[in-house]
Amino acid sequence: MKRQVDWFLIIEVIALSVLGYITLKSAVITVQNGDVIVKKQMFFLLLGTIGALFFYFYDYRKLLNFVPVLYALTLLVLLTTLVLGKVIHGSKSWINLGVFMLQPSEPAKLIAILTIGYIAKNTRSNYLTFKTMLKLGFAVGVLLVLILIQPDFGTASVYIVMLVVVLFVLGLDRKVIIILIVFSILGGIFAWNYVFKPYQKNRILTVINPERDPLGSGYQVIQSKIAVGSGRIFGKGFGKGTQSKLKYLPEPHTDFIFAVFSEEFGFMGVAVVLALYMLIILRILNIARVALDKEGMIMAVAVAAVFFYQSVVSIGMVVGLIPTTGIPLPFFSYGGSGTITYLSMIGLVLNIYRKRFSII
Amino acid sequence: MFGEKHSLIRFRIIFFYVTVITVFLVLFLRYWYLQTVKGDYYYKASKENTLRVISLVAKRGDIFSLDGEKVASYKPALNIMLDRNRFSKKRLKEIALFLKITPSELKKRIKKYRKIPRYVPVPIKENISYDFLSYFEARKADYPELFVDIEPLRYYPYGKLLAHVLGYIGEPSVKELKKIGEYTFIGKSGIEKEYDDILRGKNGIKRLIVDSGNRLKEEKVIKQPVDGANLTLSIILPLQKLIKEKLGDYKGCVIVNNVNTGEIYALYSNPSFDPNVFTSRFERKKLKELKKAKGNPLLNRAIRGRYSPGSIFKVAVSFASLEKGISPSTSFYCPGYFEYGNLEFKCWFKPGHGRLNMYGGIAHSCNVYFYNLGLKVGIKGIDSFCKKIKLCEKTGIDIPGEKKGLLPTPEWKRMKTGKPWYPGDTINLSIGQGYLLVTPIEVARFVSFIANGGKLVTPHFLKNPKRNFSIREIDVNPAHIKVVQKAMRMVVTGGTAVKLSFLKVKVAGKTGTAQTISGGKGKENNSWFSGFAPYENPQICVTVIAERGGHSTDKAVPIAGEIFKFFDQNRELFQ
Repeated sequence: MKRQVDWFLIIEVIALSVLGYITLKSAVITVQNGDVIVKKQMFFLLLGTIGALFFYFYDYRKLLNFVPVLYALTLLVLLTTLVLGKVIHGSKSWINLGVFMLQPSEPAKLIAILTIGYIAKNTRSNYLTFKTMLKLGFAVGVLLVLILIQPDFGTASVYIVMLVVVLFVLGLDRKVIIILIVFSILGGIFAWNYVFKPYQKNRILTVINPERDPLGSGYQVIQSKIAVGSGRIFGKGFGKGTQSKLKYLPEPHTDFIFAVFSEEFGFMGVAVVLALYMLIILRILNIARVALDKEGMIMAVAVAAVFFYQSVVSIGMVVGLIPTTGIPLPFFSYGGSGTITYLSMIGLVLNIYRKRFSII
Repeated sequence: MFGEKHSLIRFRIIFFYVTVITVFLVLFLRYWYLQTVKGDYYYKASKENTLRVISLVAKRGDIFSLDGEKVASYKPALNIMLDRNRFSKKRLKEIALFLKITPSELKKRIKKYRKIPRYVPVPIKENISYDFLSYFEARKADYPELFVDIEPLRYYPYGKLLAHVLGYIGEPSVKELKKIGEYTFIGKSGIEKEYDDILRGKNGIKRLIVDSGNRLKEEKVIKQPVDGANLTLSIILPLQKLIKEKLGDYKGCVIVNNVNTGEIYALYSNPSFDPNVFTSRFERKKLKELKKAKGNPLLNRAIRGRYSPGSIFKVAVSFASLEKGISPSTSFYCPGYFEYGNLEFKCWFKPGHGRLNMYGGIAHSCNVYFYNLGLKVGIKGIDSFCKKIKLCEKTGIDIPGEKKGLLPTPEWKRMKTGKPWYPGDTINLSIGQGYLLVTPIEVARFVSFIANGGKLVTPHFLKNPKRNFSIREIDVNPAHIKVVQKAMRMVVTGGTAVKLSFLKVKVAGKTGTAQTISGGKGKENNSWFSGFAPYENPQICVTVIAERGGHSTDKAVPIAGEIFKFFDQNRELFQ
C-alpha cells in the first residue's frame, strides 16, 4: 500500500500559513481596523481549509464533469463585476457581498486550472495539438480579457504565466516557443510605446533605477529595501519593525507583507520561508510527475505555476528585483478570495496525489 | 504515471523544476546580500529615518500690465513644514506649543492634508517672521519632524485694483490634484485660472538626508523645477486706477476695450477684494467673511452682473427696425405719454418731446418713440436681431465664470410664467425694461460691434503670449450701422450725453437709466453709459454702470467723460 497523503506538502503549507498569520498580526498594528483584519483572516483560513478538504475528497475526475457549468458561472460573475463592481485603487475588481468583498479574479484562477484539466481530459492525443492549443488559449484568454478590462494587470499576468507554462509542459513545439519569445519581445516594445500608462512605465524603470522616482514608486522600493536590509540576520523581532510601523511601507498587510516579515525575522526567517515556498512548488511538481492521467498532471503543473509566479513576484518586488505589482503572496497576504483559493488549490493537488493509482 | 511515460513531458517538468530552484537561488542571494552584507547600512538608515523628499516649488509666472508694471508676482515666504512620517500624535501638544498655535488648530491643519501622500512634507505654519525663524532654528534639534522651507508666495502689489481681472490662487481640490498630479497652488479664478497651465510651471524634487538631530547632511536635486511663463495683459494700469477713483463708493463696473480687437484696457468692478487674502492655506475665516460681505465684493459685475440695460437697448431696437426695412426718417409724436388699450406708458420727459424721427428718438432717448417703434418691429423682429448679434449670449471673455443675459421670447415667457406674451411686454422691452437682462461685457461687445462696423469681437486680456480670439463678421447692412453711429453721435452733440460734447475727442454713445427691481425714483436707478471714440475712426469703447447712480447723466456719463479725456491725452498707451 503506497502512501495516500503527501504529509510533507501539508506540513509545509501549515507552516507557511502560520508564519503568514503571525506576520499579518504585526503588519496591521498601524493599519486602520487592524484587529478586524486579523480576525477576518483567521476566518478566511478556516474557510480555506474547508475548501481544501472539499477539493481533497471529491474525486477530481468527477469534478471535471462540472467544468462547463463552473466556467459559465465564472464568466457571469466576472461580467457582473465589470458592471456592479466596486472601484478600489482604480480597478473594478471587487463585488460587495455585504459581509465579504469578493475578488472574483482569485477563485477564477482555480476555475481556469480546472478548465485546463477538462480540455486536457477531452483530447485524445497525448501531446499538444494545434486544436488543443487554440482551445486552451481561448478558454483562459476569455477570463484574461475580462480581468484586463477591470483593469487589473497584476492578476491578469498570473493567467498569462499559467497558460504559457501549461502549453510548455504539454509539449509546445520548440519552433513555436522561439516564435513566441520573438513575438513577446516585439509585443513588449509595442506595449511600452503604446499600451502602458506612464505610471506603469515608471514602475518598470524604477526597477532599473529606484532613484528615478523617489517620490512615487521608487520611494516605496527604497523604503522596502531599507526595511528588508535593516532586519539583518536575526531580525528586529515580532512587532518591532520600525519601517512598517512608522508607515514608510505602503500596504504592509497585502502587497508589501514580505518586507514586514523580512524586517522582523531577518535573513534566518527569510531563508526558512524561501525554502518552504520552493519545497511546496517542487512537491506540487512532483505530484504532477506521478499523477495518474494527463488532466491530473497538467492541473498540478498549473497550480505550481501560479504559486511559483506569485511568490517570486511578491518576494522579488519587495527588494526591487521586479516592478511594483499588486500581486499577493500566497498564505501571507491578507485577503479572503485569495486565501480560500490558494488553500483549495492545495486540496486539489493532494487529491491528484491521492488518486494516482486508482484506475476508476 | 502519465508524466513518467512521456519523455517530452517528463523532460519539461524537470526543466520547470530546475527553473524554480534557480530563481529561488537568485532570491536567496538577493536577500542574503541585503540582509547580511548591506544589513548594517540599512539598519542605520532605518534607525535614523534619514530620507526626506521635498518638492521644489516652481515659481509661478509673473503677470504684467500693458504699460509694463508687474501686477502679479511673488515674494518668498518661510513655511514650517511637517514630515508626517516622523510625526506621532503623542507630540501634538508639544509641537503646537512650540509653534505657538493651539493643539486643536494644529490637528485641523494636519487633517487638511490627509489626502496627500504621507511622505510629502506639508506646511503647517506659513509665512513666519524672521524672529520666529531664529526662535525655531535654535530649538529645531528637539523637533526632528519639523523643518523650514521657502515657498514663493503669490503677491498682488495692486491688491483690490485688479482683483476681478487677475483672480486668485488657492490650494487644489482633490479633483484638481488628480488632474495636475502634484500638490501646488493653482489658479482659482480670473486670469490665474484661465491661464493656469501657462503660469503654473512644474515642481521639481529634492532629496535630503538629515541625521537624527535633524541636521542636513546631504542634499540632491532629483528633478529641477520648471518655472511658469510670464503673461502680459492689455490692462492699462493708470486707466484702471482712474476708474477705481472715479467710481468711488458706487457699486458697479467699468469696461474699456478696443473696439476692433476686443482687447480690454480696463475692467473694474466695485466693490472689490484683496486677492492676497487667498494665498493663505489656513485663514479661511477671511475668505468666509468676504463671501458674506455686504455688496458682494467677490462678484465680478462686469461678467456676472445681470442688469436691465434700460435705454441703451434702444440702439438695438433701432437697428432691428432698420434691418426690418423701416426708414430712419419714420417719425412719431411724443406727448409725454403713450396709451395702449387702457394702459398708459410714460415718457421720462413729462412735457413730451414732440415729433421725432429715429435720430431724435435716440438722441433724446424718447420712450414714446420707442414704444411705437417697438410695436412696429414686433417681438419677433427684436428677438431675431438680438439673437443674430448674440446680445444675450456669453462673449467668451478669457476669464472664467461668465454669465449670460436673458433675452425674453414669447416661448420663454410661456414656459416661465404660463402666460402669453402681451403687447405690453413688447412695449416694456422696447425701452430695455421688463424681463430683459444683459451683462456689462455683453453691452461692451454690442457697442463695439456698432463702432467697428459689424464685427463681433471676443473681449480678452491676453496680449502675450499671442493667442487667437475670434472676430466674427455679422451680416448686416453697413448703411444701417452708419445710421446708428450717427444717432449715437447725436446723443453727445445734442442729446442726453451733451456733457461729453465739450471733449476734444469726438465721442458717440448711448445713455441709460434703468429702473431697478425695487422700482423707485432718482437715486434708485442704475446709471448706464456705453460709447465709443473717436467718432470718425472708432478705437475704444467705454461701458459704465453705476448701481443706484441715479440718472445716467449724474454718474455714468461723467465717469465715461474722464475716461475719454484720459484716452485723448494718453493715446500712446493704447497700443
